[in-house]
Amino acid sequence: MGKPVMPEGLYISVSQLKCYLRCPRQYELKYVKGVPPAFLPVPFAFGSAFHETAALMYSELKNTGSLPAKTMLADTFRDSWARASSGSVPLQADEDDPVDLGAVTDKGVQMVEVFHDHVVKTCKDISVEFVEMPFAVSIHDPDTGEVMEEQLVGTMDLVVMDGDRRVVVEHKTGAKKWSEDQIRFDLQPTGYKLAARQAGMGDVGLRLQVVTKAKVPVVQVADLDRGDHDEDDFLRTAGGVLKAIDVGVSYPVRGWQCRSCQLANACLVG
Amino acid sequence: MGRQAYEGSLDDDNLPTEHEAETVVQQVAPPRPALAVVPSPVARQIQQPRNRITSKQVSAIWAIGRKLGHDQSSLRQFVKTTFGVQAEYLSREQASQLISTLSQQVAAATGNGEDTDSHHPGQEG
Repeated sequence: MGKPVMPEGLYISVSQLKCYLRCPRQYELKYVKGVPPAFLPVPFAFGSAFHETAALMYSELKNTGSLPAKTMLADTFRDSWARASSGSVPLQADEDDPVDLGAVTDKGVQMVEVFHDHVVKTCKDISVEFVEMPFAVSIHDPDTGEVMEEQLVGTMDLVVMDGDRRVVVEHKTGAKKWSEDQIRFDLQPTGYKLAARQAGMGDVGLRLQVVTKAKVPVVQVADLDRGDHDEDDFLRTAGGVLKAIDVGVSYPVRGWQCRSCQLANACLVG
Repeated sequence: MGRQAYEGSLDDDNLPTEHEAETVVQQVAPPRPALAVVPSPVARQIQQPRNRITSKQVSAIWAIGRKLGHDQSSLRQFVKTTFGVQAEYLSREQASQLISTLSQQVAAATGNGEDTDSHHPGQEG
């Protein structure tokens, strides 16, 4: 997966915003103090491997006009997953279960094949503009109009032209399909819509392609609707989080998320 | 009680007893101007000027570090060890202090023609 271009100055990503909203203490340990993670959650590594494979698929489509063979994509996934699972930071599945690398690989390959079939069906209607496009754009306070010190950074998985409309596509893997609330309120598409406009790409459409890890994987496609209110909300959320960070607001949010938190040990030590 | 809940003056930790509930119903709530004019400590804090390092200071630290021959990772490690936080979360004052120290090293190195690569970040020139 392509890394976002990090500006030399200050920046904030949607992941950082979500981290702070989920648990300010986790944000403090991870970003402020730079505590190294104790482990890498399997879904993170799996998602990275899948993203790399999807990126190859769309890059080939852009460059050659045709899709790579399923076998090549399966090999790409296997290689990427093997790299992720053999890194210096140990992998950990949810609930402390041992990681069954073979089963995860098989599931990933199955999902890649299902996704390939989906892209074969849909690629006639689109033209690929960018794959893994990093951005760093200015954001402003919605009340004062003042430009914030921090730039918004991220990477758009895919930018396509669908008919005469430019669409930013986000890929996700997950145990199940996204809920209506996630589709309606998730911050990431809103942030990317805002970033696309700032980057001179105009008023883009937003599309989500979720590949599920179900016994029989499916591809959920959702065209998302984000308006001015959502962008206003996003800027208020970003501004609020940045103000809280500035004054050092940090507290732990204890709950289910602690079980799979990479920094739980450091958090409990204090 | 429904109105209290709506106003936010009632929560799980602040359930009135039956007696208090009756009292509230019978009395006319007095005006509370003090609450209206005195900002809460949280509100005051949020309105304080920004204390965090600025983008210009971050850029200056990396730029001076490069002049001294340090890559970003070694300088990051130095900042983390010295200040206990990542460079992007220094206070403005800490950032000024660091920039001043690094600038002195650059001046010293430039003045006596030393090889800047030999300096440890923060080491006096």
